[in-house]
Amino acid sequence: MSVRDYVTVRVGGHLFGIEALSIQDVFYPRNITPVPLAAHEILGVLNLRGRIVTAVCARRRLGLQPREAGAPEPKAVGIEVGGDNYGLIVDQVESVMKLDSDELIPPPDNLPQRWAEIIPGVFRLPDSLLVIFDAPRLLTAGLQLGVAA
Amino acid sequence: MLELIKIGEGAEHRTEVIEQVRMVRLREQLVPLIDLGAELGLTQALQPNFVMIMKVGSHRFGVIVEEVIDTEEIVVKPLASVLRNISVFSGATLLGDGSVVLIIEPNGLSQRAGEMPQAARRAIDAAATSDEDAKIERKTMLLVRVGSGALKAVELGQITRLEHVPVAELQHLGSRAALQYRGKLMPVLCVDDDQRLKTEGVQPMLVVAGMLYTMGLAVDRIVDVVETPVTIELSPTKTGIIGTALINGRATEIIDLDHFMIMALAEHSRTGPAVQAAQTQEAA
Repeated sequence: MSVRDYVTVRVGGHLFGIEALSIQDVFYPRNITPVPLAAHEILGVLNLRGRIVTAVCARRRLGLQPREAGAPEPKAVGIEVGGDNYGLIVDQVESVMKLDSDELIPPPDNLPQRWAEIIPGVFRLPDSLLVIFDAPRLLTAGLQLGVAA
Repeated sequence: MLELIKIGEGAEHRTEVIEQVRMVRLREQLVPLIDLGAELGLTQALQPNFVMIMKVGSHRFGVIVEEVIDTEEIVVKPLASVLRNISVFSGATLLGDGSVVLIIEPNGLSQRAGEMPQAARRAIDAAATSDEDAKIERKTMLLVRVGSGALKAVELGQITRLEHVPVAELQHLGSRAALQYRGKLMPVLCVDDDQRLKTEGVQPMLVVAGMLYTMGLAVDRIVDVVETPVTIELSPTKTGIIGTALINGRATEIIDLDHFMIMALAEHSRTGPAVQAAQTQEAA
């Protein structure tokens, strides 16, 4: 048994889990300064208590539809990767679940490439599946323009 | 950043477009401009109001911006790794109101300004040259037509006379030609290798009198006399030409009279009395 905490977030109607240890904070992403020439998934940079945070849109990252008009204000999950502060913009942060990482099931082979590289596995919940994100990879893999993913 | 200039409606400085590169004329020098909005991929065209003149190394360029707000001392913070390869930005900083401002990297912009068509670069270089020797004197140039190539020109002051000689008076000595001119035999040279002397009518020629001898330089037609500043812009493609200059908006080859004087001297040297003259010339 190696029980870990996973924060569940909702993105485009899907539920995903992120290991709680990697999450620093949850905040409302506001006053985002767009960064021209950046990858499409990067919404821009914002100031979070004096730190410059790069906002990455989870919907765009996963190739999902943009948020509907009139949808509630999105939230951001703050994650540090390689000394840089990132905010993963999600529709909603739901709860924290204690799950045994030994029960993590490897993802199916037929997952689309952009999903496969950021999903280490899936948990079987009583009534559904919980897809786990590798947050650092989700935030940075392949986002550098001109650099092979 | 060197200076800030105002462009656009009613401003002192005008922009012009050379080979799709926008330039601004600043104290007789052409400075290539970068439209910051287009460079950053902004879809909304910006109102070109100001140009920030920047210098990176020896490379000078202008950046078109819409508005200049203020100057501020800031601490540049690095961007996250996923943004670091955007060469146009060197980092970001936080302003007093808490907003994040991206910092433009002049080096990154200059690389983009460096990618410009050849013609535009030449225009800049030409403008730069004309600035260095701003006191180019205007010269009276004689334009002549020789063969099918570019117009040719020679400084009128160097020509002693213009002659139209009936072809019958030309004496052909093998491949060379000469003319009895004021009691002496004067060599007649061609400007171009493929140039042919006229076989009927009159042969126009430029007569150049040196200290000890005279030569005739045959041309097809005397075109015009113009007073113009002359700046050699292209290096010569063959002997007998100093280079190519822009005269009345046309590329014109400037004839190297000294070259032909030496050739004429060689012609004289083949005849007895002129050898002496040649030696005198060399001694002088």
